[in-house]
Order: sequence, then structure tokens, then C-alpha cells
Amino acid sequence: MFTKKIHWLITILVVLTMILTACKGAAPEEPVAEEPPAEVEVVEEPPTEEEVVEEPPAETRGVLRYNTGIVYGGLENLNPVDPNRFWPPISLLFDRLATPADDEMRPTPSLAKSWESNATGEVWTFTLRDDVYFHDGTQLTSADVAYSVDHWLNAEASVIAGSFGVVESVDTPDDFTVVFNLTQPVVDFPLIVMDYRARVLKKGSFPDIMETGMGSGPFKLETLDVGGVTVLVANDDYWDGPPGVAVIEVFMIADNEAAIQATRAGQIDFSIDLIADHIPMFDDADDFVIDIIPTGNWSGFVMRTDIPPFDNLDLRQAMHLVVDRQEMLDLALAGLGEVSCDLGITPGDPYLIPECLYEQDFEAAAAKLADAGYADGFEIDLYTADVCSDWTALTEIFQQQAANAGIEVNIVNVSSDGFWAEAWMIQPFVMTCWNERTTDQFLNEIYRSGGSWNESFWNVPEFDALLDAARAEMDFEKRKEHYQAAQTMLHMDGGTIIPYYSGMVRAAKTCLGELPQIGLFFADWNHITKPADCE
Amino acid sequence: MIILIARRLILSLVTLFIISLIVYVGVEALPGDSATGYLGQWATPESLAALREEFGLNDPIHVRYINWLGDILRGDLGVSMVKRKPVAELIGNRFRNTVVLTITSALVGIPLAIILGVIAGLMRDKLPDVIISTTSIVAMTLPGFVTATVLIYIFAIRLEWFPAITLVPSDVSVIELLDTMLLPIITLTMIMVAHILRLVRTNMIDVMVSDYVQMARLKGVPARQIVFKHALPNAMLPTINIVALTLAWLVGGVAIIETVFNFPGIGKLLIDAITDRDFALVQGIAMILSGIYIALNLTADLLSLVLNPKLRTARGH
Repeated sequence: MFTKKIHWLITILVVLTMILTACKGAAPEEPVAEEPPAEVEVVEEPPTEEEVVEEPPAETRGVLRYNTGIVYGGLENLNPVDPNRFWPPISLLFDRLATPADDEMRPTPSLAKSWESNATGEVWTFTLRDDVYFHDGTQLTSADVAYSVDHWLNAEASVIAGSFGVVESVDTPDDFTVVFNLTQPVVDFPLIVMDYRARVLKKGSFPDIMETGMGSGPFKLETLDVGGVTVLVANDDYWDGPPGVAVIEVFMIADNEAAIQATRAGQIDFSIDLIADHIPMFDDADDFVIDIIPTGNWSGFVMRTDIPPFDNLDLRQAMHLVVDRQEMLDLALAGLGEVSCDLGITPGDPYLIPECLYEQDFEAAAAKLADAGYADGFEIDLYTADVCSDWTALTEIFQQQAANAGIEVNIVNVSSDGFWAEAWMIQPFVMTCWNERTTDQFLNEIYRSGGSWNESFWNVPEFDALLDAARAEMDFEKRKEHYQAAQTMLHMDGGTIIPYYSGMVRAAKTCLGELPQIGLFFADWNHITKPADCE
Repeated sequence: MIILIARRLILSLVTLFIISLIVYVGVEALPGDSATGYLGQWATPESLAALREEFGLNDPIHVRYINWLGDILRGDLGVSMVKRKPVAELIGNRFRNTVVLTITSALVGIPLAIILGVIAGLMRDKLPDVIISTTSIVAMTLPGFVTATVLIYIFAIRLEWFPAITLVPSDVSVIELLDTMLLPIITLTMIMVAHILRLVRTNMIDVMVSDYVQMARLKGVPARQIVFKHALPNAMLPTINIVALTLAWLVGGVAIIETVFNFPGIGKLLIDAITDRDFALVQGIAMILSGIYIALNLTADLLSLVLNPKLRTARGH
């Protein structure tokens, strides 16, 4: 009887094993099973031949998978100018008039094939491509652009309403010409148009696009699932040629460590959210390549220039002089970044000042402190929170560096959800962090008098005058002088200490093609390729 | 007997009420206010006021508590301020996923623990016992996220047998979900086996030296019959409670495991909700988890009553 039972057990086990093996075997077979019918169809139906010649056969292109973190608490949506915009699909679904060059922050043609201004820079005429179609088959015309500009300016809580505030009116003399009439001369208006959020929508398509994602971009929306998997398929009629991948899947993975594990195990094709500690994980992974990509993103220390104690210029200068920027970069980011001279302008921007004008100097700092009336030392509270990843390291390094000049820094940690409301733009000395910007955006959005995000309360008429002069100056070299003079003011006297730009660490499969060495805000998604056999 | 059961039921409801009070006050007492937390860096006084008005954050706390409790009793868990969706809708599929994960892990873990416990108990202090006991203790002692990371390294990165994390939306079918659940199940099994195993082993040892087992032996009853017919049922009785506790712990305690494996379950939702200061969601999940905990314990108590004649009178033992 006992042996009989064992026989039964063994039989059941064997059957179970067979079932399991069968299940496992089924998975790899799927793609193979799908391929032959596709080929057969092509042979049988001659009318589709034309299409087949134009497009790469579907099965040679793979599925590109990558992750995004929860940036806006799962509230992400498809409105390109919304504060909670869901960036990854928006960049794939919608196009803009101008796009940055691969290597620098210079506008190059996209939906607009050319543009020119009148002699003063107050009237800008953009000529549109005449071969652009939205996903529903309608052709893009100037009316769509006029509608989009209205959306950028007037949509609720539009994040680019400010920078497009210089647009007084838009004329559409014909289907492919758009004329922007500005309230003041803006010589670099194409830079404003190049803003990564300024996406062109079909006339009347908002708010439906929040569901449909219907734009003119290289990919079409299949499923929108913010907290899970968002699926996009190639738009093979795209004006710039069919995309290099058949499908893109964007996974929202809340836990960054889980995302890195998934990358290392090959479940997703690339991740841009690595830190220095993750790099050794990929040491023995031959099928992955690690890239360190410069960005203009930054963290910094903000002194309120309008109230004591930092309304005192000598004191601000003393604070700038105690900083060793390279040391901060090495300790806080393991050197993965670039030194900044108190500027948050994307490296490569043609107007950026090339190098810092002073170095760490404790004696000079002590002298400035004495001039400021703090010969016996100075004590200040620095407000921080668990908001940006490098703040903890930065505050502690600053505390050490400042101590050398007799400045005592008390680090005050506040709760991360209360930080922006209760400390930032309230306390005299706080941490901050921002994404990269162009010269004009950076100087105007964060430092122009009275701006709603003027976090250092920088209110200097000469500075504003420099910005206005730069915007109106037609000559590049003179314009550059104005912008650099404004940057120098911030670097020497300003209320913000910005030690570095953080680099982006990316791990990507080596079989991906054309993954550009630039931040993803500027990537040309249409040209990224992934062969079907790259898994 | 009926009085006893009724008393247990009423006590459970009182416990649930006290928990609702603690949950509500506790969540409200968290630093920061949900409106400022939600609007963050871009808050303006106007948008803050509008949000507080919309979600009734201006009412005093006792008014809000009573409204909330009333809604809960009607089965309405409220609306998430951060996600702008009914809490019940957000929890829906994720709760199902967690239950699937819990039940599957329990189906693997509990029989395994009992079998290993019996073996260890019968072979007390011999090599199999030493191996089983040591291994299970080590597995239990390692924090779940360490076990998970090690398993991912071995099975997903080195051997490439299983996927490292779950990459499916929360509303996939159970079958598709099972496919990605292997590593979480192994991790949870490793953590929970030791508790049950140790108890079964101890009980087994106690029972095997008891008088009636000695008697059975003397009468010449075959060893197998002694173990399965006489010893095991008696050794199992005290484990009902710990099995219930383990199940309750699984439902509520898998949050870290779910996060590590990106598993679309209720625990991960809870952690995200706490980070976002999404009060309605935190309160809703906390109430559901407490309800399950209490219900499972109640079931275990009643089961013990039914199975053990000694506990059946209201006067006690």
C-alpha cells in the first residue's frame, strides 16, 4: 500500500513537471508563431506591396521598453503644458515647431521648415512643412499652430504661459505660414518656441487629447496607463520617416532600485535614473553600456537678497567664497557632473560664461565677513528636506567648508511635503533644485524682478535692463555680452550658490542604435532603433 | 456557545471602531498638510484655498471624522485627493492582486512548513532536524528585501530563469499575474515558513512523548498510524492561530516585498499613498487591512473553539 502511494506521487510529479515544461516552452514560441502569417499575407496581397517597399518590414523592429519614476504622484496627464504633464508619451505623440540640434541648444527645423524675423525682432514668420499629418489623417496647417499658441498661453496653469507672454497675436496669412507679433523685440524667439513643452496640437483637440494622445508625432497612443504600462505604436506615416522601433512601452516603476534591477536583468532596455553606486552592477554586463550624459539640472543654496542677513552684499560674497565646487561635485555626486558658476543654464548653450571668476578663498571670505560686520563669526540656519537626492550631502559639505571661514551653518531638516510651502521662498537660507533651462529662460524665469519663482528675491533694475537689451539686440556677439554680464552679476553678487550641474547616468543595451548622448528632453525618438532580436 | 461567539463578534466591532479612531487621528497628525503636500513647489495661496475647500479640509477634525466614519459604514471609502479617483476604484484590482499573492504563498508555504515541522519534530536533534531548523531560522531572520535582492540576483540576473520584477498593469488576468509572481512567492515563503514550522515541531515533540502516544506504542500501533492518526491532529490544533496570524501578516506585511518587486498590490499602493500624503487612500487601506486582521483572528478563535472541546464553555477552561 505504501509503495503504491509513492508510485502515485511520482506519477503526479512527472505530470506536473511536464505541464510546467510545456508552459515554459510556450513563451519563446509566440513570436515565431506570429511571424510566418505576416510574410504569407505580403505574398498573397499585391496591393500592400507598395507599403512594404516604403516601410521596413514590421518584424525587424523590436519593442523598446524603458521606465519612468513617479514624478507627480501618479497624476500625470497628456496635456503638454500642464504642471503634471506625463513627459515620456508626450514627447513621442506631439511635435514642436523647432527642435534642438544634437550637440547644442540651437533651434533646428521640425514642424517649421524655416523662420525669419523683421529687422527689429518684433515680428517672426514661421513657414510650416506641407507634408505633416496628424494621426487621424488630417493635414497640419497654420490654424492648428494658432490654436496651439492659444493653448500654451491660456490653458489652466500652463507652465509656459509666462515665456510666451511676449506673443501679442498670431496671424495665419495662408495654410503654411504663421506670423507671431510680439509685444517687444525678442531676438531669440525660436529658442522660446523650441521649449520642450511647446507641442503643436490639432485645432480643437483639447481636452480630448488627454485620452487619445492624438498628435503628429512619430508614435501613436495605444494604451495610457500612468501607474502601469503605457503602450505606443510606430506612426509609419511620420513626416520624418518611419520610426526605428515598432512599439514603445513605458513602465512606471515607483521604486528606483527595482527599476535598476529590471534593467540589469534585461527586462527593460535602458534606464536613466542610475546613481554612481549602481555603475559596478553593470561591470560584468557585456550587453550593457554605461553613459554619463551632461545635463543642466542643478541643486543649489538660495539666500534671500531682500531681507537680513543676506541683503548684505559682502555677506553674500563671503558665502560664495567658501565654496569648493569641485569638492562638492566629487563628494556629492562622485564626480558625475560638471562644475557650474552659479548658473543653471544647459552646458553647450552659446551664451554661457566659459569659466568661474573666483575660487575657494577662506582669507578673502573672512575679510568679506569682517566688512559685513561679522568679524567674530556668523551663524545661519540652512533649511533642507528629503526632496532632491543630493541635498543631504550638499548641506553637510557646505557646513564643513563654511566652518573654515568662521561661518557656522545649522542644518534644519523639515518634512519633505511641507518644504516648498513652509521653507522655500520664506526662510532666508534654503536649498533648491531645478531642471535645466536655456540662458534666456533661466535668467528671466528665476531672476527677473517680481517673477513668481524669483526664489532669491533678486530685484536689480540694471540686471533686468541687461535682459531687455539682450532680447532686443540683433547682433549675436553684443547679445552674448549682455547675457554674460547678467550671468556675471549673479555669479559675483547673486543670492544663489550653484556648485554643479548633475550628470545623468544611463545604462542601455548595446544593441540599441542611435541613443543620443543628450538628455532625454532633447532626444530624437524617431531615430532610436532596436532590432527585434535585441532582447 | 452562541453567547461566546456573539461576545467575540461584538468585541471585534469595538476593536475596529477604536482602530478607525487611531487611524484617522494618526494620519491627520502626520506632519504637513495634504493640500500643501499635493501642490508642492507650485502652490499659490489661491490654489491651496480652492483645494482645501473642495475636499472639506477646513472643517474641524471631529466633524471630518464623523463624516468619514458615516461614509465608511455606507461602504464609501471616499475620494483620493491626489489621484482624483474614488478610493474603492484605486484599491479594487490591487487588493485582488495582493490576495492572489497571499493565497498562493500560503498554499505553498503552510503545507511546506507543516511537513518540515513534522519531519523535524520526529527526528528531533538529528541531522535533518538541524538542517531544517537552521535553514528556516536563517531564512526568517534575513529581512525580506535582502532575500528578495539575493533571489533577483541569482534567478533573474545570473540564471535568467524568472523576471526580476513585475512589469504588468494592475488589471491583468490572474493567469498573467501568476507568471511574474514566482520570486515574490519564494521570498514570502522563506519568511513565513519558520514561524509555523517551529510551532509544529515543538508540538510534535510534546505530543510524541505524551501518555497516549506511549500507550499506542505499547499496544503495537504502527508508527505511521501513530503520527498521522493520533499525534498530528493534536499537534496541529495550536497552529491554527499562528496560521491565521501569518495570513493576516501576509496581506498587510507584504508592502516592502511588493515595492521591491514592483508588484501592483495594495501594500505598494499604501506606501505610495503615505509618501503622497493621500489621506483618504491611507485611511481606506488601513481600515481594510485592520478588518482582514480582525476577521482572520476571529475565524481562528472560532475554529479553535469548534475543534477543542475544552474551550467551548463561556466560563473558560
